[in-house]
Amino acid sequence: MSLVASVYQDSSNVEPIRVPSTAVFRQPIAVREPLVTPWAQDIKGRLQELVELPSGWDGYMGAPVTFAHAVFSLSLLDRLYIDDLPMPDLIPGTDGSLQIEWHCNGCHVELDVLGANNVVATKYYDSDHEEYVLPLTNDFGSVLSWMRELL
Amino acid sequence: MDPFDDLSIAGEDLVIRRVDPNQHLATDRTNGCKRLSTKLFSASSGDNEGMSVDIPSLMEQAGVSPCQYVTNPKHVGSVVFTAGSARSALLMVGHQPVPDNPYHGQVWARSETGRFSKGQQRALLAAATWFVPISGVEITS
Repeated sequence: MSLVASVYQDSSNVEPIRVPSTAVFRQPIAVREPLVTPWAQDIKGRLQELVELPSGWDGYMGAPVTFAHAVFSLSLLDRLYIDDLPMPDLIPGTDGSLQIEWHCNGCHVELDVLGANNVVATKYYDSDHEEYVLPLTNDFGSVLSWMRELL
Repeated sequence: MDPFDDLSIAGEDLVIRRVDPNQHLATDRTNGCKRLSTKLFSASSGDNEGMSVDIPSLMEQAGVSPCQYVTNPKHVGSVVFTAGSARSALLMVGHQPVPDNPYHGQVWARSETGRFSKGQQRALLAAATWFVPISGVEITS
């Protein structure tokens, strides 16, 4: 039987992410009012899929995305939403982490979510070999400016 | 097993990384196609864990078809890169058989965390070519 953890308080129309019964809570989960973006349902659906990946999903020893990574990523994308920007792709790593990425307009922005408040943001272009890498914890303002270049 | 660089795997020897099209592909809106994510090239968690690969030269020595071995309904595609290209990115390549895969190898980072840098991930992506291609999917970096 799966555990159900409500990510948001007073959630009326927001479905929680279901935690697989094998999940272990390693840290407290912040509860706050949600900002419901047009991405929200699709993002949650994709995150649900990622936390439910079977062990060895990658053909080797890949682990499912952890609930902590999923919750943080959902919160992060709540804050980073920009009108008209397509929903990003969410790509699982083999270690329970995940990457949020966009490839638009010859610009590439990748947010490697290594943990809560532990993100490596990267931007690069088709037109040159420059690469911009930012380790980020709490302040994602610079990423917002990168994301506007994708429009 | 501690990470190590197995020099019996020559620089020109290939290593295979399997691709799950449901998990490893991102949308390239510039070119209107799907592309491999750099996240395909990442290490596992745990002590001394690297990035799992398959070593086709060992399969061939055992009379096993590499293409058939790494391809299944879930992992319909795979890419290859040379051990030398991984080493050029300051990674190590070694044979590490596991119970259900005697041809299993690992690519390890030399960093304390064991994680691949974005530069290393992009280097592997740039070095990779299709082994078993997935139609309509580009390998780009």
